[in-house]
Amino acid sequence: MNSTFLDNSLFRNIYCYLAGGSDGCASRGYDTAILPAGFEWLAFAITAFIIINIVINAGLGAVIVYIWGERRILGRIQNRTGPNRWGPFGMFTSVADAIKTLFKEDIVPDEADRWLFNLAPILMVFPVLMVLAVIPFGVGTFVVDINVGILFVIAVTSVSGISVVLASWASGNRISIFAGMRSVAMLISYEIPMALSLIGVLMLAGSMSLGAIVEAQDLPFILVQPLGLFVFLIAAQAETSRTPFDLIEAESELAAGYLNDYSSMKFGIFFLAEFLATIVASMLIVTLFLGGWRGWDPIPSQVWFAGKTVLVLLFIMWMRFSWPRLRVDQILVLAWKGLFELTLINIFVTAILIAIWPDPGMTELLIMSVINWIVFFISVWLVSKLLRPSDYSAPTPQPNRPAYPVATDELPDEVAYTGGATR
Amino acid sequence: MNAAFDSGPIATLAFYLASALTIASALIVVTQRDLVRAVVALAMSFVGVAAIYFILNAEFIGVVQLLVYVGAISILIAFAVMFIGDLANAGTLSQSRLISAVAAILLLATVIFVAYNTDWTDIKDVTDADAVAGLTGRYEVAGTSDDKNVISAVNSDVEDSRGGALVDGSSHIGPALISDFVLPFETLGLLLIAALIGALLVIRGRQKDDAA
Repeated sequence: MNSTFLDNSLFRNIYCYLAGGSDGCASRGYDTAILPAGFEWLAFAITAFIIINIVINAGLGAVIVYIWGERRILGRIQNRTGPNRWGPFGMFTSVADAIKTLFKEDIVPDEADRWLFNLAPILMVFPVLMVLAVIPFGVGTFVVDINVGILFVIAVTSVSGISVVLASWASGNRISIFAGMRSVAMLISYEIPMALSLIGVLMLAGSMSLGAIVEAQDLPFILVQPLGLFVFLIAAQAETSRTPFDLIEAESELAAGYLNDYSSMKFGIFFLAEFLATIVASMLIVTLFLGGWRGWDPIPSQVWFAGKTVLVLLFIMWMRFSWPRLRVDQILVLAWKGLFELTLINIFVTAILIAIWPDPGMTELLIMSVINWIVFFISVWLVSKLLRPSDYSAPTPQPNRPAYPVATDELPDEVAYTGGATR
Repeated sequence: MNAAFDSGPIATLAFYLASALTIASALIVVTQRDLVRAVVALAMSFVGVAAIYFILNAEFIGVVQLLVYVGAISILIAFAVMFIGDLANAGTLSQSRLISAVAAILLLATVIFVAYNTDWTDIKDVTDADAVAGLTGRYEVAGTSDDKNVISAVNSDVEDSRGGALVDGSSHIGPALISDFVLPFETLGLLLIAALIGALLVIRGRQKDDAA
């Protein structure tokens, strides 16, 4: 048996309970064997099935809790109550929503390509669940730790683009196709800074395996790689289409974008994929930049991981509730002219620092982090200067006018604000 | 990776499932009249190939297959297909059946030729202990002669060591790209830049035509 699987304590406990006689388990002190010798493959299959079920169902449960939490906090931040009727603190609202979604009528439009229309939601949720498979949730608590973990995450998330194209195309209506076109432009653009922002982490950790990256973080990489975290946070928001970047749905412009024609549980699956993607993105941020499951001793590592994930989720929610949606051109300019340069600066500076200290100890890491933070502030300031439109001047307040637009019969003689277009 | 598990029923079953997925979706690609559906089937076929790479422990190549073919090329093809105006008659795009047939037969002949001329020796068939050690990563460098590392098998219990050469191939790709294969690598880079500029030129030219 591959030792990678037996390092996994969850896997080992179930597998060795079923097939204790096999060599890997016997050397670790397991001697109960339910299955006869020669049936290790069956034990492997049963164990894998159980673990996959646990992880997927935990993920789905987390989505239910997350939706409730997000609506409550949205209410608090925007000075209203949020869901509070059904259950204590409105806790059962999400459950009721899920049940309602399940029992709604499932409509497929006449214009739709039925085959692709049904395939698109499956393709949407598949990559998110695949990413869940490589994240280390705690000491020895993971599904599988493959040695190209980061590359796997980037590769699998890139599949979600094709499901958006499919959903928009298969619906057979124009608004959906508009949404599909511009959202794919956005998804492809943000994949590049997202992948490049992780190269600094790779160079510091010396491995692409997520487990090894967590173990390499004697100093959390948020200190050593501020620029990488900054770019990854923004790009992950765009990839999961949270609000500053929610071009894909854009309720006020495109009805609901690519999922216009979806109803019932197919809509529910898209919804679920989006929220699960947000949770998975914050788990990735925790794993790559905040030290993963590392923490101080009396508290178990899994609790540390969950706590850090909740903190990152709160930060992402805060961003979502505070900022309005950007325009298409602004989003693409930010990706190509802003984040792309920042990642290149980050790679360059980190490479030089690693060339100076090939095997950094704690002191060298601290020096590195000071240098990287200085570089972070200077480069973000420079790029924001570059991206600022040259012809922009803040509208001067005019005392005669009301502070808010008032409907009149005639057109205004001048337009105070011409927009922040950068081209 | 223990040989007992590698040849176990699950690995075999997974291999046949992945092969079935690849072949079935490839058949759909050539028989399906609807181009968008054909693109989806093509993406499925790529996923099947990636799965086979994973079963063969070539994780890096499998992941790159997913990233490049499924994540990028399929989306590009889907875009191109959607911009073709007359989708109903798009199935008859190939005008000269003779040329297509010749090209397909040449490609098939190449693949068969390569398949027959490759050394398909399995690790199980290798009897030399040093060679097995090199393939599975259970080796140490015994000495150096004429800038070649002499490796020999490690006799200790290797149950807990992760395999080297076969399992962790990805770390050897980077050094190889900037030492032995630097010329092909740079040539490919040049080719890609040429393709990029060409694509931009095609688009710009069309935009000028539209404006005129």
